[in-house]
Amino acid sequence: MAGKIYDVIVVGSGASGGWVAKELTEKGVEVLMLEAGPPRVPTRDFTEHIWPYQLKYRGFGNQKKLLETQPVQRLCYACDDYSHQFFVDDREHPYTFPKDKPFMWIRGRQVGGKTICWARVSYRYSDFEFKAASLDGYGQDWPISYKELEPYYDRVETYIGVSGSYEGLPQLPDSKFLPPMRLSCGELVAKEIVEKKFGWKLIVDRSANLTVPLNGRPACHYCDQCQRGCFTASYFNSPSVTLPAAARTGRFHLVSDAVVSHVVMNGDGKAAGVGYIDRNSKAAREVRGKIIVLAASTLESTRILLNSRSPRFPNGVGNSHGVLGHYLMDHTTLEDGGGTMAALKSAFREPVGRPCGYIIPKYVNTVGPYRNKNFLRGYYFAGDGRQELYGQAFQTPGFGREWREKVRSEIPYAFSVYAQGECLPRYDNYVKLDAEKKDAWGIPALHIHASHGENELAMAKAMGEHLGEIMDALKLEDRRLPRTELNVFGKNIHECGTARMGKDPKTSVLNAFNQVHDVKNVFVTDAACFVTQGCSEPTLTIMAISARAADYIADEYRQGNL
Amino acid sequence: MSTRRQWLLQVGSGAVLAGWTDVDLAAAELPPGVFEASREHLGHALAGQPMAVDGETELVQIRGSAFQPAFLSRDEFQTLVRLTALMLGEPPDTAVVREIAEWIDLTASEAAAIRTAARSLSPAHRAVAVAYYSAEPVRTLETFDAQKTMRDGLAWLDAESRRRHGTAFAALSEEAQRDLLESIADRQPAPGVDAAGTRFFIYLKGRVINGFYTSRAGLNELGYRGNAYYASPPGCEHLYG
Repeated sequence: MAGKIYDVIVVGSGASGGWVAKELTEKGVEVLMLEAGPPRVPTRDFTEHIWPYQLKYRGFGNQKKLLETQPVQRLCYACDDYSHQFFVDDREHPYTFPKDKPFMWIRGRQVGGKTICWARVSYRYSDFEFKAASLDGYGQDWPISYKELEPYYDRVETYIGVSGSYEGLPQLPDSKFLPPMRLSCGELVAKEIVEKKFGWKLIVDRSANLTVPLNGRPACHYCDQCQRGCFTASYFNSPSVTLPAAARTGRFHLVSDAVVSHVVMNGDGKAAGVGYIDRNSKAAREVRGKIIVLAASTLESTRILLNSRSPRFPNGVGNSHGVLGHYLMDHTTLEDGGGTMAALKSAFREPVGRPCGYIIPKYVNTVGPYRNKNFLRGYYFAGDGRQELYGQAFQTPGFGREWREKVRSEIPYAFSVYAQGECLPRYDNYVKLDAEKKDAWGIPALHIHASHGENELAMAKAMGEHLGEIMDALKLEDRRLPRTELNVFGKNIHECGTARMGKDPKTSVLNAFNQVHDVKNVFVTDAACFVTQGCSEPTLTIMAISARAADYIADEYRQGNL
Repeated sequence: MSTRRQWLLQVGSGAVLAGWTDVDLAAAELPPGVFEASREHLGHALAGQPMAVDGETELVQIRGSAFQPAFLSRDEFQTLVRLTALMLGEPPDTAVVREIAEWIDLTASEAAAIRTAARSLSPAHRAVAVAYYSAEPVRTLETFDAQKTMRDGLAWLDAESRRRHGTAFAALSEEAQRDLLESIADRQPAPGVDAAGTRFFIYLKGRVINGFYTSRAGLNELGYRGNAYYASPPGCEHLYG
């Protein structure tokens, strides 16, 4: 391995890698970022303002091609006619699972990763998450507290922009908000009823969309097509927010199409660099760095560690005690509840374009009187209230002019609601390297062994009951009952854990600063480090933890400790 | 601020930089795939979006020659145009009617290949789909025969037309055609003589709905006010203010 030795090599260019690169380069550290996917070009790849009639398949997708090339990715709501280019080709990216434990792994490999097409929901975690074990005795606490992470939440939010309303809820701490978006008519009706009947707040989502201009980025223009890419960067995505900041320092180098396979180790037990395969030529290369930061996404970072096998680390880097790969989590959801609000049926078409919905934060087993001893932890409700676009046409009898007129003038008001709950970290939800299957670059594929446990199933029962009570209270008509079974594991694309933080090297992979216990110059900053995941979306916390880890790395590097 | 032109120039330079090792990456203003926010969004949103032709997005192609149906015969296609027009209450020579009929023919032409692709999913990929959708929608994708539904439906219309009026469907008056369509409208297929007709109607109505309400004319008719430029977030305007 010859050539330049970089200060820090960051693997992955998404939410986590972008923050690590920005913070380190701004502190004077030189960063080489390796990204497995290609660069995206807005004028070629973004479809933000394309209309369905401009597309060959009118928004319904090239089904044959999707089935053949993206049989898993196509199941994600955002992998459609407009945005399938932001998701991987499943033929090149295999993984395996036991027959009775299907896992849905959604992956975006490109400069920016999944931040180009993410759903932008941004909630802080609280000590109900960080100190969950102390509260109910299950599992482990995080080695950090809310107080320790709070300044980093502040830093991230004031830079990326998160819109929302100040509510003062202990279980969902307020961010440094930009002005909130507004509730729809149906949501205002629901807010009054839900707050009165259950004592639960119903608030507009907290979303990484700009409601006012910020740091040279224009405010959102509410076209409501965020998952297609955004020319104005009015929602947070790393290629137009954190990565330009890193690039402007002159200390940032980005190599795309570099599929990292493993961490290269020195004889002295430290990392010397990483090995990668050129995505296009498939040539194997190595680059040298003093510090390695894995931010390749939860399962990819863990896969790289597992594949970093050497005589000294026969089971991979960070796996001296067999913890690496274990405690995989993904949120559980009971979906598809909803119906129509008869009083809001109208002939007047309202503007649409708010890029988020509403949320009823977690109360169960958290704050207030709703305690349920059948399970640990809790769940929130979310959804949205909006006019039907043309779904009513299928139910409207007849055809011809009169039928069209009815479709136009009798607009039902749809209200949707679903529940999202916490998945407990369990040792028997794990990933390991598949003994045989390899990806298109010859790197061992992951075998993923994950299923919902007793706690999740008991929680699902309570979720279903509460969903029914909410729908009753709102007197929804044309009711669509929520599903009775939890989503397939992985579907919520909030996979967390598998290289968790902790104080004890025997029961965790990383320390409180995302540093691998076994190898001091290797860090993992994405959601692989999560100890628990509450019921809230992980991305904001990923970014705050990444910024914190970058601070630590810069300090330690300067002091010569790495 | 990068303009769109600069973005395109960066794409060009990307080819040079992709090889790495000793290239001076710092010399580039921003590396490929990294870009500043465009501030042209109002004009961009109002003017509609031009797309580069080398992307993966499959756009409607402008035809150089006369339309040739991909699945239906010319006569069958004329009947499909007629039926689409009746469904929408439009004259058959309306542009949107042809636009939708052509799309329906396109989707039907690919239906067999889609079914084959669905049946060819690996057991693992099928298991994920079943876990995601539940079993029934997956089975429907594997078994529903859109081509047969269309062919049988068109044949049924002709046979029924001959039975009632002694002539093919295409030769009937508009009123007689509408009457025949009404006799199979919105009925669940049941065992009996008109199952091919009722099944066809439900299929065709679904296609026409998806075609029309994704057309410029259909979206205008709905008064759809999304995919647009708003200076402030849309919310409830009238109920609570």
